[in-house]
Amino acid sequence: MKKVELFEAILALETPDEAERFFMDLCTPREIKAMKERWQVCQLLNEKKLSYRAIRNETGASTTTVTRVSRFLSDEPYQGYSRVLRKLAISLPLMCNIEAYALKIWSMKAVEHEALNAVEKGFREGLEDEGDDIRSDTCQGSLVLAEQIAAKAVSTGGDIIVAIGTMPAQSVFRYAKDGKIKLIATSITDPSAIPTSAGTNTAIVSNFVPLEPQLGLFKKIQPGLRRLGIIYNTGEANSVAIVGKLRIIAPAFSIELVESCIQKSSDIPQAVAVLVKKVDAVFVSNDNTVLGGIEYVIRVFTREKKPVFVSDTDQVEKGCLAALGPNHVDIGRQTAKVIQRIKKGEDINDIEVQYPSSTELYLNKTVAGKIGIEIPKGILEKADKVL
Amino acid sequence: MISVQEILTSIDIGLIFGIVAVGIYLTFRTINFADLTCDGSFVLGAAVSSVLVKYGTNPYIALFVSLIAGGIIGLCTGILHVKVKISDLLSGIIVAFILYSINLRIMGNAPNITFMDNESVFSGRDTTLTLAGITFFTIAALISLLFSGFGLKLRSTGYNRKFGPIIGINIKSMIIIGLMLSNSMIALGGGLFSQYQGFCDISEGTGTLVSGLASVVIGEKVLQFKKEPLLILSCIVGSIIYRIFINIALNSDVFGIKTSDINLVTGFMIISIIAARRMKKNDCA
Repeated sequence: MKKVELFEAILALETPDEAERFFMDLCTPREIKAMKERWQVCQLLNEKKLSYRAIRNETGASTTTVTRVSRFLSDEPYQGYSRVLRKLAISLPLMCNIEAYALKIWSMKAVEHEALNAVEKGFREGLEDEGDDIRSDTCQGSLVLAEQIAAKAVSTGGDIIVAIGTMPAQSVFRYAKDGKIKLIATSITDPSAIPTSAGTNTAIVSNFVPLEPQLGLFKKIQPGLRRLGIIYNTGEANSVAIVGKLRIIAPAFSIELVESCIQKSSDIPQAVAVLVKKVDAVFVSNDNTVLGGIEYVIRVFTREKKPVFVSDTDQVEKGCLAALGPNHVDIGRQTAKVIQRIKKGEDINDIEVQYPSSTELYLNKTVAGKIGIEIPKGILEKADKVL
Repeated sequence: MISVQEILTSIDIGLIFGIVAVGIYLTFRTINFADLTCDGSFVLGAAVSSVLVKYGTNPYIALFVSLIAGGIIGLCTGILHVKVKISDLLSGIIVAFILYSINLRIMGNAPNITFMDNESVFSGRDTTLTLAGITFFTIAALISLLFSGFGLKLRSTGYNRKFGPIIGINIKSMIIIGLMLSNSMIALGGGLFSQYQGFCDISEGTGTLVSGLASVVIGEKVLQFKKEPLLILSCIVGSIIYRIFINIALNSDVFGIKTSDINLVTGFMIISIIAARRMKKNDCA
């Protein structure tokens, strides 16, 4: 006889009474007691309120039992405990009014980067009180590593992967499409890079801020702005998408766009040298490569008394003149909200693309003084932060 | 605990990068040529196959075109070295450097193309089996080539460049052919990887050389084949072991190891394999 036949027999049980009769016949009283004890330990462990020792005292189980259950609950590949716990948690709230259940969440960052770290911080804060099991990995900018991390997250019984950045999101998307895991792609500038459609188990939180208000702001701060330089990495999908849009809208602001392309951060000095004489100001959007070397851009442009505009508010204190952009921690919180909606039972496929709910304006008055630009009063009043 | 799914993914990626490792073996060992074109030709293969698949070409034909494209790039490196007399390292670097722009052109100036909804060689089939089939076919063809009289000439290029011409082997054309073979393998790997993932990114070539060389060395140390054509096989095995190493490192988070530490851990595992074999040899002697 195969093991399966026994399990099929167990599946035939329908009521608690029926189950009790069956197990009383099947097991010795000792076995029943041991199983009952393990299940109680498992539930207590899942609540994460008591220490192992406290659980031992409460249930009378040995410490060995407690650690064994704990190991099977979190590390062993069967994940039967957690599956049943989750099933009970989904069906029980309706009956017993239990609060939302805890999930196993994997966070996958494209690279170590201030903005992406801020997003991660935001969504961890947003889920602080929920008791979810959140684990983090960084893909180090490598597609292959992203693939392996995705496989690890999927196979260890994760519920949700939060992919921070386009690259990890694309790597996980395949698994989400096959229904193996739910994907929340966050910090995505160009949502069309991830072909979501019905039934792909994917939700997107974008960090895209419309470019028109940004150009309008630059023009108000610096009315003489005619030639706007932009430095970007031709290898970053987000940047290429932004520059494509800028090309279309710039003429409406009577701005001429002067592009300068780089491939790696060591190309920045040359790109800046070529650009600085040609333009009135420079704009650096959410380009991770250029932002990595923003200090150099700022130094050269400030020396020439020309401003540096950015879309990343965190960069203003480094010496950029102004930024109108999303707050990355807020994007993280928005991501946390999407997770909470899913927990409450909403279908992930019904969640539309989320755009930043608010933008923040940061200004740097010290820099303005240094380069001889006077920021109009109206704009200073509107700013969320003036340095 | 490493799960079956993870092992399967490691095997998948190991097989794809195994083909890449074979390409690297062909230059670094067989014809003894330090070719750095690989980081570029990998992306070239990925770009060509992605664009073709995206516009509805048969995925197998797309892979074949990738292979041809890689061969052409190998030819370029070879001509730079043999005819223009640029050193081996530099000619590879220059071609890989130029390839960045060419690859972007091929991808229509977009650094990232997705085609997850299009048909790939993996649609409707078991991924690992398909990959194993493709790898087996490629390797079998390559090994039979290397066992032939022509293969002997090719291999002699790596052993002794002075002796070859004396017995009438045209070393220069052998170097060019070796480079073409090598880069077509690498581009095929790139094409397979892009179809495996359903997208292609301009940055995906970084680190191809390092992982490929590591795989070659691991394969050589673990299997210790003596006959050269068979060493091709050990590249594939080495590549799978290398991916499993990374997997183990990824699963070491219980020891407080973060993802950013995995290069360290993987590096140590590679060193220990080499060291273990060395010590064994000393014992025998």
